[in-house]
Amino acid sequence: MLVKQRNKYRNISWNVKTFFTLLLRGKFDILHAMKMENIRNFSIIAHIDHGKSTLADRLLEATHAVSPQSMKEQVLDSMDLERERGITIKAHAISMDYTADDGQDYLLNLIDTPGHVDFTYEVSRSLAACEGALLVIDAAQGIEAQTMSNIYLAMENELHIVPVINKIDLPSAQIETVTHQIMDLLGVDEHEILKVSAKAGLGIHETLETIVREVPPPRGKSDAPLRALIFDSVFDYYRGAIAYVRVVDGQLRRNDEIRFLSSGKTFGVDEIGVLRLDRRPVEALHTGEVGYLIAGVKNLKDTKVGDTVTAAKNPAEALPGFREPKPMVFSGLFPSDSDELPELRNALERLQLNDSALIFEPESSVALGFGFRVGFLGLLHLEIVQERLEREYAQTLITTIPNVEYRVHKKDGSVALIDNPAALPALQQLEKIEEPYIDAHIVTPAAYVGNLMKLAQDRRGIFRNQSYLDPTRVNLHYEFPLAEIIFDFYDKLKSFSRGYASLDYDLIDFRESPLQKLDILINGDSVDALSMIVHRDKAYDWGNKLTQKLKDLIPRQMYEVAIQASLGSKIIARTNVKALRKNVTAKCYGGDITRKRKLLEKQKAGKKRMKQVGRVEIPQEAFLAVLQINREE
Amino acid sequence: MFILLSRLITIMPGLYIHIPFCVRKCPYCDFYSEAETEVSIPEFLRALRTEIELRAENWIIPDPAETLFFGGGTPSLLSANQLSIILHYLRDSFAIQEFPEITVEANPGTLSPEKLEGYRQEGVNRLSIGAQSFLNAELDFLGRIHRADEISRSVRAAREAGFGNIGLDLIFGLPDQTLSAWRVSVHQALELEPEHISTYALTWDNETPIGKRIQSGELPAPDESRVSDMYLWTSEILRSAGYAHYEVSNFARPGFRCRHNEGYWTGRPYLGLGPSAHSFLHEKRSWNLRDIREYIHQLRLMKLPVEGEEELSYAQRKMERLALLLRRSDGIPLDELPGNPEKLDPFFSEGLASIRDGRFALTPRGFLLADGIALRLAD
Ligand SMILES: Nc1nc2c(ncn2[C@@H]2O[C@H](COP(=O)(O)OP(=O)(O)O)[C@@H](O)[C@H]2O)c(=O)[nH]1
Ligand code: SF4
Repeated sequence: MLVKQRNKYRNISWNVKTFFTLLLRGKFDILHAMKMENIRNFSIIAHIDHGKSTLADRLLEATHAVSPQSMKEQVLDSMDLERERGITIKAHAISMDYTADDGQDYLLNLIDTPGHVDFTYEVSRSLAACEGALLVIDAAQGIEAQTMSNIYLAMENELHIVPVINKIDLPSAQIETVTHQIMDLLGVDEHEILKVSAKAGLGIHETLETIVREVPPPRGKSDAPLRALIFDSVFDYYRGAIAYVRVVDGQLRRNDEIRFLSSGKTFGVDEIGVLRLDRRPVEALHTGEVGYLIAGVKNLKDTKVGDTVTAAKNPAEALPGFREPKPMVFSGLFPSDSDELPELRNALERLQLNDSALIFEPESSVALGFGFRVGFLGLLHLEIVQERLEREYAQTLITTIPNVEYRVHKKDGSVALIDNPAALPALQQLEKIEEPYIDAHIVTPAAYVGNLMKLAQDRRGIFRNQSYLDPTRVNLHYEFPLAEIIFDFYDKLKSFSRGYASLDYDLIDFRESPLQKLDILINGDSVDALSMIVHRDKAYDWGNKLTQKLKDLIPRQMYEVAIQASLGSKIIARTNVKALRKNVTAKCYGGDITRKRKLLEKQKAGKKRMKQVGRVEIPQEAFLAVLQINREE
Repeated sequence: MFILLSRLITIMPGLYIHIPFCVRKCPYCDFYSEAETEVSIPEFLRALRTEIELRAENWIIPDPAETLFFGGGTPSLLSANQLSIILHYLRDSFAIQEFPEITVEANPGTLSPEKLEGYRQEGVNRLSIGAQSFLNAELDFLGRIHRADEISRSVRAAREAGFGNIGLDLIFGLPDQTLSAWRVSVHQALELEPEHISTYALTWDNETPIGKRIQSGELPAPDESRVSDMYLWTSEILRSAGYAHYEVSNFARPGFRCRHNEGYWTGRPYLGLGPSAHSFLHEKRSWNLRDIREYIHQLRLMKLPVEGEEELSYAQRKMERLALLLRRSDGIPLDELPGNPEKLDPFFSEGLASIRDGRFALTPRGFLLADGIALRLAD
């Protein structure tokens, strides 16, 4: 990963002037500290594709942080996968020097935020490091649910919000409508809303001026004991964990002894610095400043996002808002070849260095052998981890049905959190099962409200209320069991609203539900890796759909394969895969054995993607069959 | 020592000669042959001679050849005289055993009593007749040049010429073919009392005209279940008529297995001559150019007409051996089977295999799944 990133920066063709400008500025960083009044810390809130990256590029260009020629690629999101998915997963920060119209020099620190529901907490910590935020709204799209939730986060963090309507150059821009949406939502005047085209470079100067004028300078106490907020961290194989920090109070100096408050661990500061296109060491970070911190921390878990850095000798109180990363979705990851367990462990450990939200522990399955139970922030996070394991670490994986974590009460009074259906105690021992619930906001054009309410009802949604954002857009407020939305809810939401509806949610509590374990039996043997926990009213439907899907996915074998779904000892659905009767080359003619062998080798390659369970060969994708099920059919 | 000795005893090479001419190209056939070519048989024979001589210089044939097989194409397009010329070339260049098995594949539409007698005189002692079907409608569908009644006439003429080892080839599993239609052909074949019968299921996952028509949906695909039933029925009926089901597609009266083909399955070396012919010598597989003009051109330049070759890795060799031995009713010695013996259990309980004389051998039902079973066992 890091290597890739470095290569990427190397690919940027610097022009000479920029190079010297940066060199000089680098010197300047070391020699002078900016006065607090002249610092502006801000981030950009935007829905995906509304133009956050493009706008960031323009700001960097306008402040000469990079030259336009070098701006072949957008600077802020740099991980391949993120680029492909158009999602900024990991936050980074960058500083810019700007001489404003008032003749003064300002230091602008842009702190990037991840843009997906799976990463709400990370967003909130990035916002907490700022005093202001640009709220970027696509002139043709208007406000989306996720943006709303980020606006709320910004408000909670008492940020000054600078509304920006982007893409005003588009023929389909509805500047007036969007202006009114924003006025209603933020209670601002029309003239306070910037009209920008990041693509065409319109309104960029205005934006920078507004940041300087409207976003308040940092307000920390420079003579108080050190308190710095970690808003992001990454792992470097040579330097260890690198924390991105915002100094809230006091100063952070090289060689200081510091303490991370959540763990209480202390470290000596090896290096601190500011963030340009690369890391630039300085002697001290002062109150209100943003930069990085390297302290020989071997484990990313010691630099948790949201944690407070303080002086070891003179510790201050923790900054508010810290939360341990909390996985919401769990799934089993197994090497398809059991010999590769150590490699998988190694790959997960290395990924974890870079992803503190990732947790895992060993799991053993009767069907799949040894593997790991892995916790993720959400399904997207799962997919990213899975893809990185396969691409960057060349693992061939079997991923099992994802599920949420259940709170299980046993008759003996004990309570346990269970993240694996196979670990559910026997029915006789069960008192009750509670499942996590979320508070969800769906923003949709009014035309799709009917569709979406039906979908919500299918997913056991509890309607709270609905409100109009403007005459055409509705905010639907629901509570859902988390389990109902982790699979395909988001896709369904999109298809039920022609792509217009958006979703945001927060975990609220655990509630009792009539839940049962649905088992899948293959040739009479229960396959633990295919078990799932389902609501009583949906058990039959799941049983039917899952067995049918498995029937489609499991290829015919030499003998008939019976597939059954059961609740306890009761079979509720059954089907079978007919036996394959013929698989033989009719003729090995004229000694052409090569052709036959090649055919066999091709078949053999196909078998590689199969897992032998008992006598039956099950393709890897069958263990995720549940994700391919269309529940609304 | 014992193993070495048995190698010496059994490893007698075979010679295969590919005659790449046909009267008309059958629409299901994916062997290399030409129906309308300006290349004449004598021209081809000159090139073949060069190949034989070059091979004899370049290759060390381990032992005298034990079997000769004229395949194609339609070798029975050769006159007795032409056949005799080839045999002379071969004898001039290679050591050949005193009483080799010499097979000629014959198309019933190309046989005359005179030709058969001539073949016999040249030492041909095995005739493999491409009967394919005894129903004219099926022969038409298959694009064959002969009529059903020509088959029995050919067989009778061959008997009269003194052939004591006659094989009939049949094809089953045509689209929409019923079991009763297939029965007609099998029964008619039995009436002719051949020493050997081969029954091949129509292969249609290829680039032949019929293959393409089936894949495009223009013709119905043969029903797997029906084809399997035909196969099992055939095995039963032929075994009860005294034929051993000794290979997936082959049946023989005692003592009449095709020794040449057995060589392919047991890993014996062989040298293939003529366009598209395959060779297996010194653990190396190679194959000739699949184009008669190219073939002739290369030989005019005194170059071997080899298109490709491959040296097998140990694992590939093992895999091959397993897959090939499983095709035979003799099976494979138990101690050669890789892995845990427990994994054989399902094959026994499903009636797909049994153990005979310390060897793991497939039943007819197992034959139907021979490739899948080989893969399972190779894991
Ligand atoms: N027409 C127009 N397109 C824009 C503008 N700003 C961004 N885009 C385009 O919108 C798409 C998404 O922009 P991007 O900056 O990647 O969005 P992000 O996902 O919010 O970072 C890209 O194709 C941009 O070229 C703009 O001002 N006008
Ligand atoms: S006669 Fe035999 S070799 Fe010739 S085209 Fe027909 S099937 Fe093929």
